[in-house]
Amino acid sequence: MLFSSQVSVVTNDADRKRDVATSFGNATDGYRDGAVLKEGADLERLVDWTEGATRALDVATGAGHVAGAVAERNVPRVVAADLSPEMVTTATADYGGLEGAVVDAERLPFPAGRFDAVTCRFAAHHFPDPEAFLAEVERVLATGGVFAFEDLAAPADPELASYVNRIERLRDPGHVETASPAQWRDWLEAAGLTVDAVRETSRRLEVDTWLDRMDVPADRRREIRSLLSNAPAALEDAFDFRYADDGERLESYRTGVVLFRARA
Amino acid sequence: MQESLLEILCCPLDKHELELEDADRDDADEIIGGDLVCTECGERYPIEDGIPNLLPPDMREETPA
Repeated sequence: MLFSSQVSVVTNDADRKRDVATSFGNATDGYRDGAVLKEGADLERLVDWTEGATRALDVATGAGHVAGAVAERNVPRVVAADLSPEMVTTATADYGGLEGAVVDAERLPFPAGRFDAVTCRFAAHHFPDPEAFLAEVERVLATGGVFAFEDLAAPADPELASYVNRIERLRDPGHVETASPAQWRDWLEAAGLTVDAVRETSRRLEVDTWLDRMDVPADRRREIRSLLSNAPAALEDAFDFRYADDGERLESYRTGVVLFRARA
Repeated sequence: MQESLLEILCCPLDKHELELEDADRDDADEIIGGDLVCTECGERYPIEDGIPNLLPPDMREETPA
């Protein structure tokens, strides 16, 4: 049930991905400046995991924060790849030493075994077919190469997970599905990647800032606010809802995040 | 893009090698335009503003902005 919205028809996937490219092309500025994405111990950890790599690929690079940080750690060649040409242009303009390419994460244009590190941060919930993506990651990695991965994590409870995904899709029509850490582990292992480190963490989202970043229109904001006010108590607890002084307006909550290091 | 990027690119569909055609270069010898053509299936992937667009044809915008 949780993954019933996954579409298998190629043309639907392609349309959806074109929509993602468009909405992110429009949101480039919000993404470039978002402190949530640019900073953080989790970003450092992800980059640490690529230590010693000689050729790295950052899939769905967005504004290039991860690719740029990897390049700064003396990885000699870093390819910043994204579905949106605007994002690739932004990333390669803002960070020196990156090579840019416009790619589909599920059909990577790289020969087998060409990279010893692949990174992907806060993007996989946009991929219609995460298993196809992981198969491609495994293919382009050399034996022993590292996959440093981070994404939002859904609660293990399927009902809570689908509630969260409903909110996410209202905010961002390109959102496909946030999976649970257990689901990711299964997919990684099924793709032939060996998980050797997992970190489950969370990050606090200021609701208004979070909505502003994707430029969410007023009607969908109201719907999101209403879903948040009527959220099941279990979600309120799990996500540590924090209200404004009047006790009514939700100011922020904590969303789950998971990091995996896996080897090919 | 630098020509050396070609060494690590392939056709996203059949993963065969790509050949550079009609390359436009700037003063620093960077490739700013042209096509990458699959040596197997013949699919063409455009280089736009120095960035290779390797999206499969079903995902590419029809008219680049």
